Amino acid sequence: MRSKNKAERNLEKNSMLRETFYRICQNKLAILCMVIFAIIVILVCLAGVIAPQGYDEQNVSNAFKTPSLQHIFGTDNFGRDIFVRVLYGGRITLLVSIASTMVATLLGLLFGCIAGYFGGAVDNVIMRVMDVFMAIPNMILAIVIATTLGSGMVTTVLAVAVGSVPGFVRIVRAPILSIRTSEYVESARAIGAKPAFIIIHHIIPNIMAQVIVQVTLGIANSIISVAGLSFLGLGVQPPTPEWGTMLSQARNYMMRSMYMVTCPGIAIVLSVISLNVIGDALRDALDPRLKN
Amino acid sequence: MVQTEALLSIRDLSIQYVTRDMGCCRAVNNLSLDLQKGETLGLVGETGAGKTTIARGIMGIVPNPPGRITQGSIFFKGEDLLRKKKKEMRKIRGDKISMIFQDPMTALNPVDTVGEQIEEVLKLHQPGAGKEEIRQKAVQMLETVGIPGERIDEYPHQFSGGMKQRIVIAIALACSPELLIADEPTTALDVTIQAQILELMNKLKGEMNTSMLLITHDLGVVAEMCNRVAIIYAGEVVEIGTARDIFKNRSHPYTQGLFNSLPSVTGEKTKLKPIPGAMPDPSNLPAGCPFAPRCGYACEKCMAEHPELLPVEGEHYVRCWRAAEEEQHGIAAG
Repeated sequence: MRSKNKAERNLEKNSMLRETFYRICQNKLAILCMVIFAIIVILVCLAGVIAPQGYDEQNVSNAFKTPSLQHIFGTDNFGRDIFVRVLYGGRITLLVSIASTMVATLLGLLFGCIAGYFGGAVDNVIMRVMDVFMAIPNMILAIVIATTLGSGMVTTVLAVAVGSVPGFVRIVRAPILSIRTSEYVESARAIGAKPAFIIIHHIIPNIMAQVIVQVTLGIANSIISVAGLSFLGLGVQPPTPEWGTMLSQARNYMMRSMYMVTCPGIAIVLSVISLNVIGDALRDALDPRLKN
Repeated sequence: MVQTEALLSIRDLSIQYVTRDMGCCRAVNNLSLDLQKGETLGLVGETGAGKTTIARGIMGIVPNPPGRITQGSIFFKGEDLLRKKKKEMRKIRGDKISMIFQDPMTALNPVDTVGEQIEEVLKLHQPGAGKEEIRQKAVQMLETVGIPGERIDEYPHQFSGGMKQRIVIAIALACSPELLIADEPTTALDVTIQAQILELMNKLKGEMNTSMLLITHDLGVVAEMCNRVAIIYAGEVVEIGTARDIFKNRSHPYTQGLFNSLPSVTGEKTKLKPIPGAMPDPSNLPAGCPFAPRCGYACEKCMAEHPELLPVEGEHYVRCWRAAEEEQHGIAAG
């Protein structure tokens, strides 16, 4: 009885995923952006294969070269290949921004669920603290944290994450306010479930759609923040390539070689735009009511 | 009203909702009830009478804030549920006492399969059981309520309203509870499905030897299901007795009003006689009988003094000055 329906069951189980995927497929721009972002991620992951020599191979006699077949983005002031540095830099930028978004998501889920589910005084305390964080511009908050804790990858992750926690808390809390009064939550309580069980099994699955969208958009914002911090010299330190750091160094040679600034800049712009478009498309696909 | 034998006995229960702008809303006032083992007790009353709040009070899930149980006790098998710790209550909920909710459309979580939702209650209350064992039990429960076991991995939206209510019943009965609280289990369903669901509940109740507290405003449902009936008005019992007492010898003017507002199937077509007015505002209850402002027989005593629950005959009690006096003078009420 059970084996017969296995294929059918799998199809049913994935039906929401399938439907979402189908709706995204109708959005041509979103497909293009997904392809672009996938290519960026794949290239960045394969940096070690494409350029096994590493990112800091110098050749001063070969400095400031314009793009050629050998150096497709040209070379920088030390004669290092910009394309290779963009690839290796992407590792850091993407890793740090994804990590900080994950930290923000976890903290946001934790505080958002507690605030939304328990309500009352707990809610008030959490939300007022979040309001304080929201009142401070993200970039300034990140700069303060980065300067206090010193520069480095872990600090950058934290600095960027703290600023985006309030957004996640709000996104998580709002739908919980309506879900917690729903009858299935009440009936879960009526069968003797603990609050933690209810939150994990009944509430979080119901807000995943909103969270996924926010994560996608959050990574895009984090890329800008991480690059911004590094540009100001507070994030990842040279010689480790990072898109923001590369921009910052290239600034001095902007008049002499435009490729040094343009290439990491384009990398940032492409990743951020494609993530934003993907996020918007996901939101439309996961919540069809918004469209009509 | 013997306290020792009853499965559930509620004494002087008061529940209030306190909000800043509405003041204190007295939803349940000094309510006492007894439920014997194996019995079905109907709680009847109009919207806002406090029926659901009573059910929530028994389950210990009065939303707090704003809800608060201000006094009284709820004895379940001799133990006071209101004195129990949260952890002990969680063990009782779903296992010994379970609840069927009004609207099956919203009582199931849309993102979980029905199987997962039936297994959930089993997992919570039978921690020793293996995964396969729990799944088999869930399939078995599904078949008990008349749904093919193969549908266990489907989602709530793939079922009709009546089937969803069957699933809710399966969840409620999965641990063979001793007390089942059914909060208007058929209100959201159409009439033919209503009959099926009631029949199913009656059958399973008999098989599992469960007692039932049936909350409804449908007197037809009461006639079909209940041994005893309590009429609730403004958070208190105004009349309680066996179903026969209530249907044949209704004493309280409110009960009479309820029956007068039912259309007759056999008699000639007449205009229905609804009860004039509306329920008193529970945040501002009158000093005397809460029904007095709407009652055709109300006298000065009714306005001033709050009547006690007085015996009519046998197990039949009524909270009305007039009915009690008539009884004393030996005149049949109604």
